[in-house]
Amino acid sequence: MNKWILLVDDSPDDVELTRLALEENAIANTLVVAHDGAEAIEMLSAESISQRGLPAVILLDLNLPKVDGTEVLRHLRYNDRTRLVPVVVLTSSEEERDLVATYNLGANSYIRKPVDFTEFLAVMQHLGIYWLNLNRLPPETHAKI
Amino acid sequence: MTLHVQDRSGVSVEPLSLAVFRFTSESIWLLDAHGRTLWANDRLSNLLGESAEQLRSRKFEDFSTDGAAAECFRSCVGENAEQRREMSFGTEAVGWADVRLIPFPAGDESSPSGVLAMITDVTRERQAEAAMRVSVRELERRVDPGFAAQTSEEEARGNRDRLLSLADQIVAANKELEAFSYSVSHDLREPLRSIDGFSRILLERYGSVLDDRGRDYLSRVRGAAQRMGLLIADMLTLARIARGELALERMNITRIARSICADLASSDPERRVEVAIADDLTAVGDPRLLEVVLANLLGNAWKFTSKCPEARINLTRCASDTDDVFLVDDNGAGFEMKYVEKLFRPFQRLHSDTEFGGTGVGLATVQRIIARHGGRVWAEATVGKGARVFFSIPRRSLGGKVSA
Repeated sequence: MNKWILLVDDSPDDVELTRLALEENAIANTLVVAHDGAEAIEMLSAESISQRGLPAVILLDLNLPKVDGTEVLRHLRYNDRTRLVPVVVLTSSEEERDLVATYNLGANSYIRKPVDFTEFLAVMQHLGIYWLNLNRLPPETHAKI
Repeated sequence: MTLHVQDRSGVSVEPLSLAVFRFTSESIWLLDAHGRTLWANDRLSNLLGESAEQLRSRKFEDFSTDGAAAECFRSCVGENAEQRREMSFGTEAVGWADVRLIPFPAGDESSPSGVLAMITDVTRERQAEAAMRVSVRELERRVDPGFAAQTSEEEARGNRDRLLSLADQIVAANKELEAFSYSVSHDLREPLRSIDGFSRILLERYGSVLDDRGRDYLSRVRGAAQRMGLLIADMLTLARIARGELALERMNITRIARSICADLASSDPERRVEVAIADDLTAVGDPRLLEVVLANLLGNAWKFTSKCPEARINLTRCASDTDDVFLVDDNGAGFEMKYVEKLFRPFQRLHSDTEFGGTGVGLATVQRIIARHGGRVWAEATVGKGARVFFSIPRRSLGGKVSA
């Protein structure tokens, strides 16, 4: 099955820049975008997962309209279907409390979104190599236990 | 039986009651029913500046210029009751005194046979209070000009309460400002990612459809976005410094300074700079913050010696009894001393961007960190000959070890 990426980000600019960064790094995996927390949760409902499977990685912004990133994370970890899916917090927040809170909720990684686009490209390259190539995922049947 | 105080030979010299008055810390004056001196202790002589001999021919009321003493004395004798009043008291050097008049009983009970006056000099307290009232008003005026219109009721609430409330206001305003500057810098940075990212993609992917001038403009957009990014990053550092407690420990200044200089040298390998960091420099401070200080000062020295063929940077300790004083000096570009006041203000620069790059936040950051440590930073320089920047950190004992 094609490894796809779920990007949860409300900024249209950041979504486009992420797309560009994936393109520049020749990462061809499908990018699905949720524009707020509620949409993200909807995209990971039982019905959606049965059609598309789980994403290989979720790139989660924290400051989101409606349902914010930490709430999305709490929901994912509470839910048997999604509790093992890798979540990378990708945010411009440098607040230590956000870092600690999201790790406590079971985030797999916390990455600060760089302002400089060159650095952003490098970050996306690392993320692509690590989560799409190097990292091994548990079979989805295990996630359901 | 009457107790008497005896001298060395065992002879009784005076009743105990007077002896006690002699040794009390208050000024004591025994008066007859007309206010004439019966006896006075030395403290009273000192307070009024008259000898015991001179006082004998004086009356209590002579020592107040506005009649308050006479009135108070009349009440005491007339009502046969203790009086206590604060009044201006004295002849030549008039001061404020807390005066207590205690009648001593006579046989017929209706009027006293005399009066015991106890006088405490409160001139200094009143002067201090007056000075404090002026300071509080001045503070109020500065904190909030609208706040200065005090009603007499508020005035009566006491300076201490108002000072505390002013201090609370200042602390709250400061916190608000810090939070504001942090969030502003943080939010300002977000759009930069778009400006930087899209202009770069435009240059790379669509550069061929632009002419040289178009590409040049786009490069300027990127350059400006990057400069703004640096500026905001510096502002964030400055805002962050004010937050959080100082984590004080005895730290090894020499080691940190040498590591900073090694980093500077490796990032600028073509430069040859003679760096001398004195051995065994230590201070008690927050290592995270003092590292920012050293990085800024040594980084400045590195930058401003970049046009020097034989660049030299020193970090040494200066002699001081109370503080640890350090000096960073270089033989670089220096600056004109008439601008020294501007040196530590944020966004003030003494060199143009084409001469030496920078945001003008570095030394403001240094000053804020050193101020948080209770120290001071100052500088002197000669144009073309170099700059000397001093900073002091109060000496504290922690009993801890030097961090290795």
